[in-house]
Amino acid sequence: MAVAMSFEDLPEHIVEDIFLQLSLDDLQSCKLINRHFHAIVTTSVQLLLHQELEATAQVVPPSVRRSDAAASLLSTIRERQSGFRTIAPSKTFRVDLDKHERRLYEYLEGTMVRGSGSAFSSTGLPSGASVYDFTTSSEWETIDAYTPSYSLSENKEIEANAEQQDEEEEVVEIGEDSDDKEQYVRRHFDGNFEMKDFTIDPGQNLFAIGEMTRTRDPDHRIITKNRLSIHLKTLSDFQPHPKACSQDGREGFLCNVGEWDAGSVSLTLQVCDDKIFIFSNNLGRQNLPEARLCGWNWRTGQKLFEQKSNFRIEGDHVSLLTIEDFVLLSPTTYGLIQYDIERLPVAQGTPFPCVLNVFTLVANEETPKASEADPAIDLKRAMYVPKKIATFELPRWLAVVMVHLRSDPPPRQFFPEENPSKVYPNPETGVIVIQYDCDDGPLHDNEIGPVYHLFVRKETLLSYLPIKGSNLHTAKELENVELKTITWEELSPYTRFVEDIDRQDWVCYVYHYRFVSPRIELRMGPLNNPIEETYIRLFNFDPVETERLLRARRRDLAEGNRNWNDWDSADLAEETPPSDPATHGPDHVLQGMDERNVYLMTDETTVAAEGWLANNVTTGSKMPYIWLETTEPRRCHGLMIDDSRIIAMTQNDEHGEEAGFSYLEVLHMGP
Amino acid sequence: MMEDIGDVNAPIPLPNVTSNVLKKVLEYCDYHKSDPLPVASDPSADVAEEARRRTSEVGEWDAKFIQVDQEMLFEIILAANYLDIKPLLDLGCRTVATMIKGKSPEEIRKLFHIKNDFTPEEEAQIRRENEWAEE
Repeated sequence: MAVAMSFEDLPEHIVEDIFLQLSLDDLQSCKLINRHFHAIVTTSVQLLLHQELEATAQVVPPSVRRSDAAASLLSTIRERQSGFRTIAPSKTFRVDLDKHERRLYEYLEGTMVRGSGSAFSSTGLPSGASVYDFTTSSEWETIDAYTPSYSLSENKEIEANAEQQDEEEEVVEIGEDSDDKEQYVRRHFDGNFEMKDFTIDPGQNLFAIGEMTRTRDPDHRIITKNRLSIHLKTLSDFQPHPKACSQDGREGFLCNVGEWDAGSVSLTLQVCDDKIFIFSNNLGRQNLPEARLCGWNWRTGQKLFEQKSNFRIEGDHVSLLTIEDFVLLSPTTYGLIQYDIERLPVAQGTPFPCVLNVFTLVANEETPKASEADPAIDLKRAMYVPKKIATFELPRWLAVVMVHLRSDPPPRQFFPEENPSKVYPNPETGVIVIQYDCDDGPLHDNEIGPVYHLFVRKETLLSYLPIKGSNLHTAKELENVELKTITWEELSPYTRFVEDIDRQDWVCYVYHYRFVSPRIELRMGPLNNPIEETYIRLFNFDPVETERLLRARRRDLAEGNRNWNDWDSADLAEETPPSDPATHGPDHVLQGMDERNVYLMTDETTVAAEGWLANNVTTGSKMPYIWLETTEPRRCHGLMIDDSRIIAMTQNDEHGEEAGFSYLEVLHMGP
Repeated sequence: MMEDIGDVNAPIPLPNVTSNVLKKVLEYCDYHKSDPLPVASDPSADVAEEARRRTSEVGEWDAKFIQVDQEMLFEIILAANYLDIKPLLDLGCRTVATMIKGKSPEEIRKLFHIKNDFTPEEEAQIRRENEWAEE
């Protein structure tokens, strides 16, 4: 060989393979090496797709990557991304709801399930469910009003009701052969049992419903126990799910996954791949709070783990370790919001420590392998034990406030098996909402307090973990891993407190980096009567998207065509300090709202310690974000979101029994 | 693959592979000969593929094996490409990627002895585009 082999001599497709493993920053450097490499980075469709996926924190399922050309994937992703830059839906579609629908609901990626059917008188729980599928509605024509007349349900009452609606309301046919399409809009499932909670995973065609049954003491005929079982159905036709376990002689049925003392139990179910997570809170017979998080494999019926709150009475004092809510960081790592109180009652004015503890599942080595002799017993023995690996300190409160964690979609490792989407959020990214609901705290005389939303990115939390959170670890690997404590001072710049978001009943308001909320503005009408106007507000915590907007504004400023103004509405007066160049960095002149109604927030947010918060809390110096709002008011009372649509729900004007949501509007944000 | 060739005793032509490189490649193949083959029809292969892509861990033996000079590294990559040995090609590409990671353009040029053929104006232009990258 006369000439030594060098990097430049490698064929282009190999350079592509090498560059496909690099981050955005590294690729920027590669562009600057020389003309040859610049040309590869800026013209290879594979690399352009890779850069777009990195920038948007998304992944393409391998099956889609094999079947679809990179160029078409690239344009799909770009179009989708630009669809959310303003709230200007390309199509809207209205669906009227059943009158008998209940408050229980679930929404994920184009599929909504709402509790329906007649409510059980003792509990008010729904006996059935209505499943709405909006994934095909992008193909439909935009219509003004629509009442579905097709129903798969055998529930005569609902059908009769639907017919009655047909007569009352104007029915607008949609497109051609509407009969075929209508059946996809809504399907009824009549369960005839008390649905305590349900969850869905459209990608697995799974509809999991929690049924609570009460066991009575045979002698005294009093209720002694609540027992939870899970029905595992298909979303498409409500048959036992073909991949689900069967127990108790029933197909698609996971029996007795939880048992509680008689009393009221609140329940949350969540599916992630082959796991189902069950979170319950119970006020038992002795009024001792007991919260419990457990996981089961719904395909095999194997118990995975269980964790409980801890309520200890020692002499004259009581210590408490609660579980307020949970969030999945990976299929094997989760975070729990916990109040850790050494001694109750606490002295007046002492803050309640509220932390986010992160646990990872470790193989339970004491568990024998399932034996053929008695598999049922082994199925109920937990395969894993949770190990606490990190504690994130959070703001302290002067009372125990209700805390909820929200994040969507779950961090799935398997891509949907049926009709996968082109792209999915990278499961290690996205925003987590910690919602502090200062409902009547013990110190505050039943006065309804404020609600705060604290946002933190999943990747921020993952970056602090002493181990990689996405893998399952053995006990040996974790032997020398010490519990890591992250102080609030360290974490707070990477979080963002937002005060002026209203309390919402509907909680599917977050998807990946985006969060939607209705904002109500009071305006004086012509007769000096107050008129409520609602606007849709969309928050975007995507770090790259925010950085892009920041750079675009910096360039505009450099070129002398600044086209945004600092927001001066009274709504945000507390959040946005007055413009003062002396105390604000150069980024301050870049924030504000531009002509498209897009707001950039770069300043820190300080929430004063008033009433509930123990200290002033400053957040967000390392977490700028974008929010935008509709220019025109629209009727809506609740919002849901996914990667290509926003769904607005509107309440009827009825009161009492008949009050509820009457219709919803699907806003298609993509092309 | 062998069936396609016909006469299995006929020598396989390797015009682009020198004996030193071939020795390395054979060493790799010998060590990995008992590794399980990926099954194309298995849906879990997708998951495994994805998992492998995400974890950047390289086996201990592989890491030691690929500690060679640059020229040899690129020769191995070319040979693996020519002989269609996917895991070895992958190992080579990852190694080069790791060498690039976190380096400035100037450091990359120095590392691989690459000449900068941009004019200062072009370079400044690309830097500006990078800075304000919008799409």
